[in-house]
Amino acid sequence: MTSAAAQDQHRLDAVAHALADGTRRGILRLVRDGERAAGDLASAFPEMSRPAVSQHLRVLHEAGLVSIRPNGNQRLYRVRTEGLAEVWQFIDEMWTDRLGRLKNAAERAARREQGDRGPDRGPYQGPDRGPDGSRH
Amino acid sequence: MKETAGDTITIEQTVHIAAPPETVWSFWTEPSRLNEWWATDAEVIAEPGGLFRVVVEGGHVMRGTFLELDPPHRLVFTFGWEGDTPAGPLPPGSTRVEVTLTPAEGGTMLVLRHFDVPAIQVPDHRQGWRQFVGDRLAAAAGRA
Repeated sequence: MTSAAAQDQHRLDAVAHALADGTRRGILRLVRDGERAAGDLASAFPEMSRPAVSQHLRVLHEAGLVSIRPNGNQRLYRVRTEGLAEVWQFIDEMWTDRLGRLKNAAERAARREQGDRGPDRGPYQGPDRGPDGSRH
Repeated sequence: MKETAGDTITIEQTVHIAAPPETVWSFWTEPSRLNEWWATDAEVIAEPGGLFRVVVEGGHVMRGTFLELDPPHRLVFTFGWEGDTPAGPLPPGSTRVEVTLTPAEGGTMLVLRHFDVPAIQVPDHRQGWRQFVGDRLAAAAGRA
């Protein structure tokens, strides 16, 4: 076995070991959608001691399944995405970006259409507006 | 906002738009208006079963089929990409998007839900996360 292949095998062993435990799979689910502080994660497993949760986090980190970002006196954990192409993240960001553009384009169009009908009635003033659009 | 259901998730986004629902609707169904926010080129046959094809920046192509149209309230279409995307394949027909427009605060509350989005993929696009995990676990058990 080449050294690179041995390294791969070692990494896969670490991943398999990390994933073989139900608590660690639970932690992975929690950090999949975003960063979570170690304290947060510990409180999600009230039946376990904090050092035990920390030990699980260490195993996940050594297997390369989570990343750690220090933030003040906290350590923030999240699923390590390197090498994991995450379609949902791509789509989530796409819609955030595109719906922002849609909002701007539709609001520009609405202002133009409103301008065609007469003077600008100004910003929304509340629901107490007559059927003809006049304010009370 | 995201909801996890097995290996797929629903992406949900809400945006308030200071424009009437009719105006917002037209931005989903008129190609020239799609070009203002999403497409560089769009083909729209706005009827159930009709084609919804959106070419975006970078040349990627979203190809969908309209499933439901209730102007100007609700729009449902299938969503997928022709070919690969930077984040892996999502073939046409594989996911579904629902857009609802509700009059709110002098404008429109738009809620977009994107259903059946794969939660995690491994670099080898032919395998899902469950397969990846399953293989590793089987390998581990085999050595035990």
